[in-house]
Amino acid sequence: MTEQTSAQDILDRHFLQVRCGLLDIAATLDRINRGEDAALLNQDERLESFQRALEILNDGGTDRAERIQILFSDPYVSGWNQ
Amino acid sequence: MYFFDPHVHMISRVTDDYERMARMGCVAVSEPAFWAGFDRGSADGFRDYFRQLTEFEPQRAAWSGIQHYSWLCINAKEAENVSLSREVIKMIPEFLDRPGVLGIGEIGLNKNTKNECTVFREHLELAAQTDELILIHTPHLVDKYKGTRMIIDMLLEDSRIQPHRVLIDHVEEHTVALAREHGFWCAMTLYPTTKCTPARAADILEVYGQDRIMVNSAGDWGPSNPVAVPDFIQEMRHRGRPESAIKQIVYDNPLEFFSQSRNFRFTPPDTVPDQEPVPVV
Repeated sequence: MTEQTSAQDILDRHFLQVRCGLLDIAATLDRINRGEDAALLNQDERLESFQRALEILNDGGTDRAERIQILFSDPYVSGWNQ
Repeated sequence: MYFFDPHVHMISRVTDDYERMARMGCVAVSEPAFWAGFDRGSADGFRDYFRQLTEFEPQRAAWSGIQHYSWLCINAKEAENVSLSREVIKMIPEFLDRPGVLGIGEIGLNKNTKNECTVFREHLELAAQTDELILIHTPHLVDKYKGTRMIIDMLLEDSRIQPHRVLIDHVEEHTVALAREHGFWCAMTLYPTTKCTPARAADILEVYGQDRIMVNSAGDWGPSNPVAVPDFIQEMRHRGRPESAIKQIVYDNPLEFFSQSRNFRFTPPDTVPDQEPVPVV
């Protein structure tokens, strides 16, 4: 990391923004579950990936954005060009 | 603050956008060749497009006092048509010595297919033979990580390709290190939902540093914001970053990379001589 910023300052600045983002996610998931065909989506891979992303959020650390990016990525196979 | 937008598809934007960009400090743009929203039917369609990029867009940018540069190629999406791609690649040298043409781009992958790889390698061959800079498009969303790694694999196959003359674009948290570890330049695209936000771009700089990296709007015909770079500048200011550090990303770094092109003739804004008013069109 090239420079350190106070965690307190970052939290103060972004608290409402993160609160808003969490509410957006919660409301969208609620909206999906209210849909008349919600039960049909139990096996939908996209919803499963949302759950895994939420678990990453709860993990702590400083690389959660990168890990969520990888979660939503196709795997790379080394040697593909041999 | 003066800034470059090193990747913006102004052909898709109205003249008012040039004017807004200029008012916010934009002094230069570079415009890669890309997909028009439909597959073109012939190589002549690309010839007309390259004429527009190299003849009319520089003129339209100049109306707002912006210096315009361009990159030429057949984009990764239309590269699925290999025979058409070969006709276009064969035609590109006609345009490479035109003023403001910086190199071959934006080439790369879209869905990481075999045909896309074939055409990507043939663009690399052209760039190597003509000693051109290379601007690379990395795929969107689920295809980005795999595609970026495949692109780097192909770049490393050819020892003539010099990493400091290659810019890998649209990097995000999971691909920025891949691009940088082999010495390539890279860029982050500031898009409303599908690429980086200004805040995430600033985060990436905090983690990976400020060398060989820049930001762009990639403004085009889809949801995008041609004044996204000023949004990034404001984000950096909110974080208390010094003006010199911000300028490095939005001005100095693009200038350093583009200066490697033989067709890059840039007049710094502070040295522009007094001139007659430009007529409003």
